[in-house]
Amino acid sequence: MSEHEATTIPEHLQPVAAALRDRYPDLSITPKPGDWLEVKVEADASPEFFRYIKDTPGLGFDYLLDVTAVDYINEGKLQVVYHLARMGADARKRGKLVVKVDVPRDNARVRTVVDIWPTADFLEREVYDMFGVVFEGHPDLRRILMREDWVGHPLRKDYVDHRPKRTRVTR
Amino acid sequence: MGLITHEAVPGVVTTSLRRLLNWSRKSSLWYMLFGIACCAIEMMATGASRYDFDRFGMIFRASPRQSDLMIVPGTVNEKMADRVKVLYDQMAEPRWVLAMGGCAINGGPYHGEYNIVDGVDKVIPVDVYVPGCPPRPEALMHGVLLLQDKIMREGIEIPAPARR
Repeated sequence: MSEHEATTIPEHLQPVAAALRDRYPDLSITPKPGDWLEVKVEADASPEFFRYIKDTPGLGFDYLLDVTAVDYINEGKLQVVYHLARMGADARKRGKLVVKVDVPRDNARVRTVVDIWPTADFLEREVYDMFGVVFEGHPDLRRILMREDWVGHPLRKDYVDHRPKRTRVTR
Repeated sequence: MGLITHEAVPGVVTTSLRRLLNWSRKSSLWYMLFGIACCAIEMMATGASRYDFDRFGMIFRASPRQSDLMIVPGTVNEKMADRVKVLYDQMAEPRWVLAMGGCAINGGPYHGEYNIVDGVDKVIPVDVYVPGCPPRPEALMHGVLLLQDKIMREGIEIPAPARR
């Protein structure tokens, strides 16, 4: 953590932290610059957690900004990262939330959140395409950017390019 | 323009007809309305009134069947490479290809990346390469002038002009 980051949760985000701790007392909540709160969740606890932060009145994170992942190859894990916010007039009061879920690299599976935030459909497909994270229960888990017959997941650190070498075409 | 210049030499009519053909082809290079990345913006600028491709008899056609020239303006990725090949195959002969910008030449800033074809000449044959990121309209026009020279020399021996 850099020295610029706040170590205590800002006052206007205290109610959010309290609502999270209300249900998850052991949750470690780290404040980040720009109204962000960061939490880490276990993979098997994540479906309930996401349902909770969307449906609880004091939280109400109804807007999934992004789903992405980070490949920590030295630790043998993939980290799926969810960015969440809230729409509406009191959006700033709630801040924004980063949820990080660690999964093993060789068996990267998490539960889909499409049933909670429909926008996760394409976002999860991209994470699947780039990192090979399988989102269980996803309605249509196909590659979205790469060709359908592509081998491997390009943003994994150990990705090997299997393409045959091309030569220059002349008339 | 003095098409028939050597009446006494046998075979002169064929040569002159060739030159007439080349001249007509280079003077009406209809290019395909086709852009795959940011270089296409510069290509549109070249086609618009300030630089004005129409001066070269170049107008864009929205169909490969009616196009003589394919300007490849941008990054060719693995998915796009198949489409570029299909479009090229749909063009009628004679046809020419101009690779515009670093990406179309050899991948440019994306050279060697996982989804990038390192140069459109790995998919279709290229006649003129115009470097730049993106090339200015002047550079693209220079490339077209080079292509016109190439077309004029097709099938006949004409020394390359000294000025270019």
